[in-house]
Amino acid sequence: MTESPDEGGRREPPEPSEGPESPVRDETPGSADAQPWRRRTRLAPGVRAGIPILALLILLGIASLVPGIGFAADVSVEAAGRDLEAAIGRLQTGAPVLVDIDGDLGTYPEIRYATRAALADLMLRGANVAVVSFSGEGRAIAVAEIARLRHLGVGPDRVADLGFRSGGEPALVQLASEGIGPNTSGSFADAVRKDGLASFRLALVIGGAEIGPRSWVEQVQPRVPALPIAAITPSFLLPEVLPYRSSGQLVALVGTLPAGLAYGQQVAARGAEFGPGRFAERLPSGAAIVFGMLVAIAVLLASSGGSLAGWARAAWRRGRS
Amino acid sequence: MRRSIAAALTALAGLVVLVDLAIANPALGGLAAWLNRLLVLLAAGAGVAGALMLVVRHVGRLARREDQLGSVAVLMGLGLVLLPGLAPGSTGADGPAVRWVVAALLAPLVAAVLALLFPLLLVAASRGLRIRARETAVMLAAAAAVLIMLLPIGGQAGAWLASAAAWVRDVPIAAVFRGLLIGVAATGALTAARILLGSDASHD
Repeated sequence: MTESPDEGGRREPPEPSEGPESPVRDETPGSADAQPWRRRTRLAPGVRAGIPILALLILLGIASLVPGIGFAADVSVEAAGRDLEAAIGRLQTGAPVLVDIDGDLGTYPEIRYATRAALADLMLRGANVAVVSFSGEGRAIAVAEIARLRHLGVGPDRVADLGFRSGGEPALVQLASEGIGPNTSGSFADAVRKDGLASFRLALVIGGAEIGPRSWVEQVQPRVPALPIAAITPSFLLPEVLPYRSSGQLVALVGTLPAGLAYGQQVAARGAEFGPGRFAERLPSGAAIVFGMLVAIAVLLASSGGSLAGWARAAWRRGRS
Repeated sequence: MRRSIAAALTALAGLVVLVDLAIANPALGGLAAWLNRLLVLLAAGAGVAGALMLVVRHVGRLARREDQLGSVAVLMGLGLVLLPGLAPGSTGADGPAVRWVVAALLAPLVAAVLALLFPLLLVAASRGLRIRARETAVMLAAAAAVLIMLLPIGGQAGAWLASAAAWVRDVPIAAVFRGLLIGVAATGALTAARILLGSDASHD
């Protein structure tokens, strides 16, 4: 264990296996600088690699035992949910809706509840849904969500799978200019094939990957101005997409977990009035999320607080001398 | 001569797409759509070339007996995804077998890797503290502050934290983000203008 005064008493447990990144140390036998840490960190590489996994499993185990708590929902959070509910509520029975599922698997858990609520809401309102993806991860999520809807009893006449379209933004432009193309079959696909994207009454973009609400506003809106676009995104995308909501280019935006929960609960409250596709998704564990955040805060503060306090103390001493 | 042909083709393609956005003309629209289809094909070609390079690289590593386990895993993964789609009678990317591979294999694997992001970030933070202590400590403290503001708790404290988080998101973060986006857009427009005017250095 060493302390360097110029770094404010920061502890430096070096790792001998790090090669050129490791700080140079006196490793001669009997050196006070080398021996203690060498003894402490002598773990097999397999064991060291398993520590993060074990830590995660322990955290998840503890989190599952924490009693449930509710998320705080302020006025803006409830308004975001109401915007999406209103955008879907304006649809007539049988209205075609294009859903772009392009979340990424890392952040999708944050918006999964809202996405499933929106899909259930569309089913409850009698909308017909066409699902498309432009990213591999988005396609994986879309496949799972379509399978889930099928399992709930939603037939192919209500949910058309437009599949994965490779090519990124050019593929999105192609969809906007040429419509869904000849590959998808079925009465719903035939109905929307004729007039291209203009035949859809709403586009719902599930963001997170490369293609998201910004691409839709930039590439699709100029080509199909009559198509309203709503979005569900993870919170890290909010700085990017909030201006589009403020300008009205997005008719609705659900971008935080509390907003997604508020919207889902609004849908669940109406669910009892409808038949198949009733929304009964289990709420994400707010307690587990708060627990994880508290652990992260504790670790971040413990790792950075000592250094910052040390520098502040050193600066204060320098100022006094 | 070669330079001027490439520059002229690039400028022409750019102009067609640009004018198509401004003028509604079926012929021009068809030409722009054809150019866009070429772009999609180009992206697909790049994907295929990337996959081929991956195969060549890992077959080479197997031949040289370097990290054989890793190379076998990569090649087997490629085969597992490609074979169901290329098998006779398959309908390609939307075939049931490919859908199963994507939903039952790819998605859980990627999700499992991403689930380790939290502990791995903490490990990365500790390494960052060793390499660039001061900068990393400031960054971690800022991250902790943002996390504290995002804590979804109720009551007066929760309302205050939520309004503070909204202010941070709407003012400093939005300012930086918009600055970045405007900068990227301006650079993109400048590059496009240079290409259209034939003065782009990449053709030299």
